[in-house]
Amino acid sequence: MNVWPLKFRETPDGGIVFADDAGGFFKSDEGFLRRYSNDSLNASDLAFLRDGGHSFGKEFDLPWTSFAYRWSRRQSRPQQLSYVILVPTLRCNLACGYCQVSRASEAARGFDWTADTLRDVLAYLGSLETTDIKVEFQGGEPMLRIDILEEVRTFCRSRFREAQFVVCTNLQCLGSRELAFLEADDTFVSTSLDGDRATHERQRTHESVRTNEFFDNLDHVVGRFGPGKVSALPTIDVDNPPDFPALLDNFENYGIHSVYLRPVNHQGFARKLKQGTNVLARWNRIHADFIDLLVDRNCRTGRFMEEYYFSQCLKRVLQLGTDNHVDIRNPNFFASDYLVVDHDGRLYPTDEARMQSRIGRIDLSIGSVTDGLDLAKVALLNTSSLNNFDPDCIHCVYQPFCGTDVIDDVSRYGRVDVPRPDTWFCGRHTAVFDKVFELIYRRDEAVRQSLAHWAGVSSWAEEMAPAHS
Amino acid sequence: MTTTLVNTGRLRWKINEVAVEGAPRVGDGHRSANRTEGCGSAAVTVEIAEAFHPYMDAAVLRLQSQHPYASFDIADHGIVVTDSAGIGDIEIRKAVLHAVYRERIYAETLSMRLALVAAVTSK
Ligand code: SF4
Repeated sequence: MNVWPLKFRETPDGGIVFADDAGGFFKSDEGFLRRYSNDSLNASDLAFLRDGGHSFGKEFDLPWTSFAYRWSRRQSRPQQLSYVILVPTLRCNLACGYCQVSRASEAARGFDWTADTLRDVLAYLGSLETTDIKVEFQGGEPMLRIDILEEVRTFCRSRFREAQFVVCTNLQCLGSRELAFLEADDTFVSTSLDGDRATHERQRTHESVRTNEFFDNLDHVVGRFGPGKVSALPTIDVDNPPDFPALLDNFENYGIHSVYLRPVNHQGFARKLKQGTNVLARWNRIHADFIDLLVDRNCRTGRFMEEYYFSQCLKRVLQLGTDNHVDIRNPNFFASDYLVVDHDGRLYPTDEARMQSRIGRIDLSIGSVTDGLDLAKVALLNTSSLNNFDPDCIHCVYQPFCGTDVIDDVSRYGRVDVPRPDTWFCGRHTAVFDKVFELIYRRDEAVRQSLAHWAGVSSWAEEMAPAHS
Repeated sequence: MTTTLVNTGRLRWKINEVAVEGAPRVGDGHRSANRTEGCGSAAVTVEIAEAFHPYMDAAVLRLQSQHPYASFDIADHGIVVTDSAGIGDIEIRKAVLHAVYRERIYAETLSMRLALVAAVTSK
């Protein structure tokens, strides 16, 4: 009998979580670890490992093939390009403190697609092989170029079998033309809602007139189109976080039950200057406390809300093939299923890559709508886009569930070869998965209700948290 | 009738159907951790069983990068840790043993991993 390699990590309660490369996991203890490492597993150990799919008899037997299937489903497969983020303008009618590098003022010139760029973008979209497309309009404030949005949408509706549109808007200016655009069933709104009114005004609108504008428009859109139309993201200032219970009440008020907490993403030197020390540890604390808050609230109210990214990580632990979030998958190959088209028609692998290029730190563009993809550059970026044999990840119990983010590494450290545990990405994901496993093994009814809801299963079963002693 | 195991190396086991009593012997990769006080800096020796000696080099390299303020040296029977101020003996011992375990598991199962990747990714 052969045991697939097991990776392990101690838990705060003195136990040890083990996982194989296909994401099969269980909790045990130091005694089992010692037996396993010393080649002295006992009969009960071996029976447990066999039943859990952690072992096989010989290559290509059924357990081996089954493991190979699960392992392959854990690897994100390159897909057809079917998701584009379009930036028709960099101009914006707000000036949020942490967005200085990625916007231009509303009156600025030279930051919109020209007629030629629009023509080339449509030709580029027309050349894609996919039959279905998702288009996300970003900015700047994309609503400032509603004319372009209309033209792109009309084109996509006629070119693709199915097309879906998301407008990432600050909802500051909604006239009849903009509302008519949003009314369509294939068009959705994504906006920023930083918590309660005071926090949103402090971080974004800066004056009550504009704050009123935003909340009136949000009320109007949700009231007119129904709750499923709008999603909202709060951006959290680690030094000055919002009142989280009030934030949850506010989101629920607007019919939004999924909250994606993101820390303020300072760019370049602003990152070092503005965030102070220990920002990662403080962020991880905030996030973990928020999850506990959600568990309590869900149990108390019976109305389930989630933190989007935590649910995503939980699903990656419990299910195969949860690769639909571009921030966490492995391998995370660039320009395989989505890319960004900037205001000048240049292509970028991610929005973060676009910002890095904009502040002049490094040119991460990977071609243009006119010339197509720079495949050599994409291939170069892709060499660091998998974690399987990274010298740290290979020993990490969370490797099968985790991912990579080369652009984040470049953006924070100026290089891609920083040891994993020293990176923000690793520190962040170690903490999220620590929390996931803490909850999985907490054996508490309130926790299990929330976990089942977040994982999308009807109820939590004991077998979902295997243990062996 | 119950199952006993014959270790065939490389973290593989052969299962023999024979009669045995009681739990199988629990293996032990370590023996003890001894702290000695020198002039100014305390040293902890974590004894490592012989089967793990081939993996001490790799483990020390990893430990050194994870704990840059401590110093790790290979001695005859184990790994000597100095200047580990702030880390308790139990924690040091665990960190060292876990590092050695990880390196052995990695080295002895690498062929399994490579065969898996080759089989799944071959056309
Ligand atoms: S990045 Fe960190 S948490 Fe993720 S697999 Fe690698 S070592 Fe583990």
